[in-house]
Amino acid sequence: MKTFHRVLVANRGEIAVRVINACRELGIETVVTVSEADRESLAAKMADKAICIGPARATDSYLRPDTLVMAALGTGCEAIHPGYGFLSESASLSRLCKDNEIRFIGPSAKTIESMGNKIAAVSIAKSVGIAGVPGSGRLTSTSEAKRIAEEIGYPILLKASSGGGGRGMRVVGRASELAAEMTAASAEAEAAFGDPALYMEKFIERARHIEVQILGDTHGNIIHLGERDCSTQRRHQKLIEESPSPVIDPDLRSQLGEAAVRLARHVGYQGAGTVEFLFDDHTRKFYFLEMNTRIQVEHPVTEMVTGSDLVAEQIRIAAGQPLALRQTDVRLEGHAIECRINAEDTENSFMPRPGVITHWLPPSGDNIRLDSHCYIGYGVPPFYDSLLGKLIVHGRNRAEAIQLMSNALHNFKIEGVPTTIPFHIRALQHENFTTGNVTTRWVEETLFHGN
Amino acid sequence: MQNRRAAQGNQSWLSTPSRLRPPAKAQRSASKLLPEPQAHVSISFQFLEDKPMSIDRNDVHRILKLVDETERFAEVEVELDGWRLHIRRHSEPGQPEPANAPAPMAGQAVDDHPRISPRSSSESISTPPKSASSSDPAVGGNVHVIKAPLLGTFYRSPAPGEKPFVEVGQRVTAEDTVCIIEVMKLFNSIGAGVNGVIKEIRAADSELVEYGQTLFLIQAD
Repeated sequence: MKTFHRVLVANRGEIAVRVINACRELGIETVVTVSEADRESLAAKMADKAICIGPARATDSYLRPDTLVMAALGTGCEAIHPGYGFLSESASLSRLCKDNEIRFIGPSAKTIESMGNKIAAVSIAKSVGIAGVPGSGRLTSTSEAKRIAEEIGYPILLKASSGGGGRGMRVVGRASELAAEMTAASAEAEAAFGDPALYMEKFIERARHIEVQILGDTHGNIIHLGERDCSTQRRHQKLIEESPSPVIDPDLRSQLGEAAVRLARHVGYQGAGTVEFLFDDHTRKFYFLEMNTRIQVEHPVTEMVTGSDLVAEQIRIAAGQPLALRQTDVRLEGHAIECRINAEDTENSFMPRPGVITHWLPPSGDNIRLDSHCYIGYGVPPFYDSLLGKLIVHGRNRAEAIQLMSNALHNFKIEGVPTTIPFHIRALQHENFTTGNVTTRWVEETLFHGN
Repeated sequence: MQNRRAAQGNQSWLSTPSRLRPPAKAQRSASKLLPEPQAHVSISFQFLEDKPMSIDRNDVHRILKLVDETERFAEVEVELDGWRLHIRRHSEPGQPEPANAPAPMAGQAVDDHPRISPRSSSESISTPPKSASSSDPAVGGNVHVIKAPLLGTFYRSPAPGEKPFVEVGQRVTAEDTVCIIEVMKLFNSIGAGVNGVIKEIRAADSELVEYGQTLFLIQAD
């Protein structure tokens, strides 16, 4: 069986630990790259070797493809695992690896490039029959806007072309309001961004974030491993993820899965990837958002319900092995939930709070999993993201999983830094969550709005 | 202009004007290690003493641009008020070195060194020597520690078979080059930073050194 002897883990934090563990199970040696701030990290202690690649600042260390490839060559690694974030979706790193005969554990530079540009990705998806959120280009007149709005169907959302952060956005419920709203939105856009240009999108009042995990090998086999529901988010930051989604039935699951596989096949996808969809709770239609060409933070919920090891699969695929699973072998058993435990002050706009962990008592028990790089005395550096770990539970059904997670959260004691644990406890016991009635705006509009 | 203090007194460092870029065409790779012909200019910038700087990155860019536009100089050295900037144009791949090229100092033409042979994965991974620290008995008093400013391959001589830049016991001045560190075919020369005598050489020729690894100890005057 083709495999690697030694792999460079080009990341930090919990994912570096996760990759090192997967390698160890496969009998592969690991070299982890660390910045100066991460010399004492758990990953550095666990790997067969840690090599310092630069100062704390990521642009001088974790974000330098040349240094990473040099480190791999100099330590005799045959492959680089990029984790998530940093250079995990870097076509340059993928290409530089190829040029130096180092295996990049992820898709080819070409695949990364084709999916990396959001607009291009949407049109590729469209070409294989997967619609994006219906919308317009730059609007040039009220009459044009009216015509397009009729096609899309009201309500529609007016957005500033140069905008962001919600400003210049207006929901229009009917045709009679369109002209006035356009004037107002355009003036707002002009004032906020110096550009009055608008475009239009279908307004999806109750949107969920549903994503499909896929795996493709180098022999042309591509399968999906069901969906994850990541609707509990705050400002597009996912906080709670689960699999399966409480609103996706087997029929819809196979539609979503088939769409994801079709897209992956079209771009010759090799490795683990995720196709993200926006799901309209009312119409039960789904729209393509984007494809992520890396392992995701929330991959464990899929692992729990499918019994697979996605990181090990990534490594096997990169080594040239065929997928161990066929589509018919994939079954979702029970229900898994993941809560992201971040060093953040949830009472203060989720402000990241680095510091030293003075007390760390993780929960334990059957069906509880913690992916973390923390330990007592660990200093959470201020240079990177605030993720301390991911708490994952696996229940026979959703109610059991929620109960298990609540207990685990209550038993998880961390001191030294504020964490998102109190937020999760509150979210999990909310009626909207227990009934599976959560959309992407729930945290901001309900949980943090007048209690 | 921004006044910035040198982070570590007599540190000398070197950078390249353009970052490693993916090749325009996949087939252009000149060598295994090179995705494409790299930047053809190397720059060395050295703080001569620990004092507030009167130059910043933008100034360097401006100077570089001037040098680039004239195309008449293979090498430029500017020394002013506590700092020295050394810029050297490399030859285009496939073209000979300029006849009047001075002895290599800041940069090396692309193929002067053998490429680092990727270490076989069957070799065991040795732990590199720890960085010199305050607990290191050799460090203390007036000993200046030169640490690797970047990860790369450590070379003691300007080219294979040539005499090493320095040997133990040799007297050096702050401006002397003591070694070269190569990252993906970009050769960065490292200066002594102080006047003194080479006390120890802690890295082996052609070995990978990590960021911050101790390379030399110099008994400073």
